[in-house]
Amino acid sequence: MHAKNFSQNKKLNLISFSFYGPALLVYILFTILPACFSFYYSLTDWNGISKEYNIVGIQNYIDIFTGERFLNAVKNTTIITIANVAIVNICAIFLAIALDNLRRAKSFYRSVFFTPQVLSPIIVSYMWSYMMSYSSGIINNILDFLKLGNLKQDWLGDPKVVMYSLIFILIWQGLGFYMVIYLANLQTIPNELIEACKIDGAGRVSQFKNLILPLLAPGVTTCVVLGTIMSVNTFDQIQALTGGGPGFRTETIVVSMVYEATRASRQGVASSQAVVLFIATAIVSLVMTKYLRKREVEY
Amino acid sequence: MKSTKRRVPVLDLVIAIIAVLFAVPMYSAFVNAFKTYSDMTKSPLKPPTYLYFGNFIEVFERTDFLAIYKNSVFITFVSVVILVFLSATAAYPFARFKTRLNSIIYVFLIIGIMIPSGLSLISLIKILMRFGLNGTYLGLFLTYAGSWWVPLLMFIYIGFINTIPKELEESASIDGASYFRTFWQIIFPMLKPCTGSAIIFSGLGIWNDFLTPLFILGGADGQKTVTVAIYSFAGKYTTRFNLIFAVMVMAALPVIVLFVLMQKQFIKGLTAGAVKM
Repeated sequence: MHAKNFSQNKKLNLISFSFYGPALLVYILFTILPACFSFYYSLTDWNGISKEYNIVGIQNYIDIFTGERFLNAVKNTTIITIANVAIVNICAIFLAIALDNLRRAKSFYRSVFFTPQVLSPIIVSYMWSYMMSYSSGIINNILDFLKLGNLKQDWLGDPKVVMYSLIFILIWQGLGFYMVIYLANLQTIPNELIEACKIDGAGRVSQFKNLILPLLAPGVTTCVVLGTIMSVNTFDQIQALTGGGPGFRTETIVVSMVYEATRASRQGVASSQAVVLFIATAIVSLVMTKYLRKREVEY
Repeated sequence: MKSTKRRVPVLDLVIAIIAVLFAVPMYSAFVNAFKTYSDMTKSPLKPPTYLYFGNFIEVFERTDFLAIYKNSVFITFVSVVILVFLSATAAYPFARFKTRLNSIIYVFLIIGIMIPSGLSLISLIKILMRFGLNGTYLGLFLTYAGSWWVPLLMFIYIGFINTIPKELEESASIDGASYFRTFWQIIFPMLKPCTGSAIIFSGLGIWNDFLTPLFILGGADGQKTVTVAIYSFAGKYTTRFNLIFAVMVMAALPVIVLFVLMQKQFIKGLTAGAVKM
């Protein structure tokens, strides 16, 4: 009996392999192997071009964590991620509830808010770089028109405001995506629960706090974890809008990593930054998933 | 939630204002693509008084936009075919044969979703160089085929295959059909809705992708994709926004048209991975 099961399993494994084999092979060759190479290169001083290089141990890690530039990139990445994820989720929950309560044009608005999602981040970036340009931009034009000229800003050029502008653009592009997930989540809340809540005399605020928000927990888990991973890896928008500038004001880990790997020809340094990014993302998303899953309730 | 519906004009108004905030940047990019430079600076938000095609003509004079376009279409098409083939076939055994080895391999593949593409990309380019594959389409296709796209799409497929009753295949296997034939003739046709989502999801992602083609193909003229072309065009003509808008309109138009025609499928496709996670 046991032996028969064993050979049966073996046969199934063989059949399975014939199905996933090609995918597994390219995955190992083009994702796992290069990722391992990055770990290895992070311990060298390779410039990415020459044939010779030395193994320098953890010197790259010591360098990036003692230099100001990388720490600044870590700080920027953290600020962008926390602000983006927090604000976009809060806005998306409210927008989803508002849309759900709308009588007319629900699907029209849903499509309008979702449209930025189908556009390339590069396209969205240049749209906003026009909107926010100092002399010819729409925003400053409108401020002038409203006689609010003193509120005019160099939205993407002033080191004091550029971070806010960038986070705003990221939220603008992502909002529709999260809103749709929350909208789907809202449909899973049984009507009877809301009725019962009303009969108990709960006001709108307490209805939201005690019923809707806890039941949106699965959506929150998905959106916060996914949003964090995507936010940490933001590259296109920053590259197109500011290139990490002015100065290094908006340089993130990914932007710095790409710079080190390409223009600066420091493969070792770039690799060590990539490794740090990977470990940080893995830890943060695992801890968050665990914590947020605990908050999900069964009903 | 239907019971909570009330007549709230304030709500309608707030949503309408937010919708305007969403529409204005897209609207201004669209209308200014059809205006002269002076018209754009004078009245950026007014609809054009007449359709000016000079920007488009200038774009065609300065770049080989048709080649760029063909390039993007070709890359997207081939990549999507590869991704759908690899992820649908890979998903089948994980949904049907629950052996220990399979569950180990499954976890190993799923980890791929979490690996930041930068981590593998910066070293992958060195590997491709060694084999003379950097700057080639083959290199780009292999990069996509091995990327997080396959695990993610596979994950969506597994969820869908789980909802199909096993009896169908069992009756086929009595007939003596091989596993491959069973999969392609019986299961795959039933996965149509899922394949639709996968095509939209990966097709849009690859059409809009910037970092991968920039890294693997570089900025060489004959090999630019639309996103890389917009980036380099905007770098060259920084203040000529009406020109940049003309490029953008051409790059985004097919996507927007498809989105308007198939809104439901788009929204479902683009959130399919997220909702199931």
